[in-house]
Amino acid sequence: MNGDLWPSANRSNRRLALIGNPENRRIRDFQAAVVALGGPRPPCLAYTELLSDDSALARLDADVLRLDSPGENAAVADALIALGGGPARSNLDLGEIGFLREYHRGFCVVLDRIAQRGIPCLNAPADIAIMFDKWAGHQRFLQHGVARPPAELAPATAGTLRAQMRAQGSGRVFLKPLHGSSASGVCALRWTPHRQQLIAPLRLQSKHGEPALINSLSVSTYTAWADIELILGLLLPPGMIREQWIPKLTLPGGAIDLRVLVIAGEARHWVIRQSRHPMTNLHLGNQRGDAAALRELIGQPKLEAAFRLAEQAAACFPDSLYAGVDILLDAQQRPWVGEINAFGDLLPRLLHRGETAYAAIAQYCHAARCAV
Amino acid sequence: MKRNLIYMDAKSSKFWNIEQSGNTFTVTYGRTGTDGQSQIKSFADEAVATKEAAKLIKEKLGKGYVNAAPSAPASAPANGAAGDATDEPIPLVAFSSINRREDIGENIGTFVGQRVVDYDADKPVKADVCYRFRSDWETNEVIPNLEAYFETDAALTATALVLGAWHGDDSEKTSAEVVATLVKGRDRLPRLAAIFMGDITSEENEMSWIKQSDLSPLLAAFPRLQLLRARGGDGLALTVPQHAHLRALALETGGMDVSVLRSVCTSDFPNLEYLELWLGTDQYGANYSVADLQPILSGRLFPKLKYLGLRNCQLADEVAAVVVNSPLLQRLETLDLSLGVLTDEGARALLLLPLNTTLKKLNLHYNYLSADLVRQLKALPLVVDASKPSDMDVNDEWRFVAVGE
Repeated sequence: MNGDLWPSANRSNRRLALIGNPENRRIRDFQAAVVALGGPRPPCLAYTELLSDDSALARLDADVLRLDSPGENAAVADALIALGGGPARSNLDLGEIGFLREYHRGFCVVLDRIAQRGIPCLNAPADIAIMFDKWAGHQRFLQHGVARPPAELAPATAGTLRAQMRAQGSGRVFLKPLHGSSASGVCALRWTPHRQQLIAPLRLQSKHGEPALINSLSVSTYTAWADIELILGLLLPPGMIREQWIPKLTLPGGAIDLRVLVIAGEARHWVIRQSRHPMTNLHLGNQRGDAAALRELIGQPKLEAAFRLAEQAAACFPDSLYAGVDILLDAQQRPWVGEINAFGDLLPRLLHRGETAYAAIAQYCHAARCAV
Repeated sequence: MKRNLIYMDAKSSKFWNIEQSGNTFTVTYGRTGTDGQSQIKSFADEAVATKEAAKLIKEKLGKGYVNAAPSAPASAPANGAAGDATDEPIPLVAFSSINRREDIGENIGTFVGQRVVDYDADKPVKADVCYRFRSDWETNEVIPNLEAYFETDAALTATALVLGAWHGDDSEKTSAEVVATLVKGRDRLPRLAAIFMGDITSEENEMSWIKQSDLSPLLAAFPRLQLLRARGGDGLALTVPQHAHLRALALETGGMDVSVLRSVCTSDFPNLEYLELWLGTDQYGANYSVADLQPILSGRLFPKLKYLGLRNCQLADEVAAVVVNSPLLQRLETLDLSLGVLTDEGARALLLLPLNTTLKKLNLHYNYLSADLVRQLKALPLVVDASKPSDMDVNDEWRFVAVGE
């Protein structure tokens, strides 16, 4: 890898620019990674500017673009929602879940504009749009024979879902917003004819007399159908995918899955995410698990199989340089793809072959394989 | 001077031996069934070596190690793998499973000291492990797998079996069919000494949702049974609670029905040394009162009882208040009120525990005790575990047992 450092004198000095929320650590850390490799600090076009100024994109002068997450910025969220056909001001409270469809539609408009601009992107805008659409992503995985838990589109009302639940007797599913990111709005639901349980990182509260959902860092369990109905009444209408809840493998400390970062076709940085809840996302107070314990339990060949599956999943998006793939292992230690994340490279301090995830990606920014 | 200690819980089974000779001692430790590794240490003189050895032994005892049975070989305790057909008594320490709140979310790694392995019909069957039978989320092969296992020679020497999630995707499915299959296979399991019916994590099914059934057919079918452990209180029954040799009974529930408690209180288990009951909360089906525990606490039952666990109990304070007067304390070695809602009120009762009894250990892990009461309890001449998980809030107005739903 030593001969590959940025900027190599033998390579064309392709100028990299970022699109993101400049105040976010994702941008700061990636800029720092490029600088640490000896490259110039890449400029960042802010989503706020891109959304408020029609000529901002046209003025952007770069040879390669890296698109980062528009998340964690209320002004950007409002602008995307408005662009996607929602109200001019969403009036969403901090952390409140709402207008997921409009947000996604607005983001797709932005992605399309970026694609029209014609500058090669590390991850193609069209790929990112599909990675942010759980049903489209599921379909693409199925076409390529990637192992995915059985899934279907959920009905749009809690009443219909309940009728399905009754007809089935008992069961367990994940309900995931079609257009959500991280664990926002994801619900684990299990039921028998006599009771039900919905586990989700959200708080149900009243806002001006109406029910509202607030993302929460702690995972709550709801057992009263009245509460579950209110929650699903908000989440189901804009679309959810209903996915088999496969019991995950447990290690000392709780159930686990893997986040595997695939870069240029190769499974690189990976981390075990461990939780006592059905959601393993690391921001929910969960912890990184013990790789040695996993290796001892399942053996290297099964770990390799998980990595190969992550690579297979990323290969479904050939116009993207990298993707974060969540691999879950069932109790029989077989791997399944849970999610794919276009912005799944935020893995601070995690090293592979001595470099961070951002450093590994920065290596490729000037290489010729960037997609248009 | 020689001392052989062992440690067992749901995750591991280890030994730690020390042998002193003059100013030198040798420590040998490792996983049960292995030779382990040795360390030799020499000191200035014999007195120093003795002092250092005593310090290490105390440290290990504090961590939950206990003396190995005097008859057990130093590094190869009973695991049923050997061909000899004697009924090796399972060490008392091996009956316990979940010691810590954080163990609850995991499948067990060891059972009565044996390594637990998921049965895989495609792999050769081993005789030196304990098999776990459970469904996966797509197919439910528990019964066919059990039947296939019965046909192997390994079954003939197996001393322990673990039944995991038998319900597949249908959490309404009870353990009845699994129980019936085991009973039918009784002649193929002539040495079975330990059964865990329900090694099921919350990821697989909530403890309070697990559908159990009448487990007493297992008592009748397996006369050499020493330990019956079950998880899940819904549907649980012991309609004929009798067994001449049973040494340990452990029933883990999120809420115990009083009928189960009454079965235990009218049971005929003359050799019971270990009784672990997870009583739970009324939110998940518990409908007993502390008065229902009186037949146990009166001391009339279980003349050989050494361990009593009344765990995961909403009424831990009340239990503490009555247990201090129990004649059972004249024979118990361990009293376990862990995982429940024990507050300073209950702790003040425990400070009245009679001293100079056989009682050696008080397990209060997961509790709502103030630092002051913890200090006072630790001053008792007992090994007291008053630890708490780091996320517990003693001052929370809502107080929960460790496992409800």
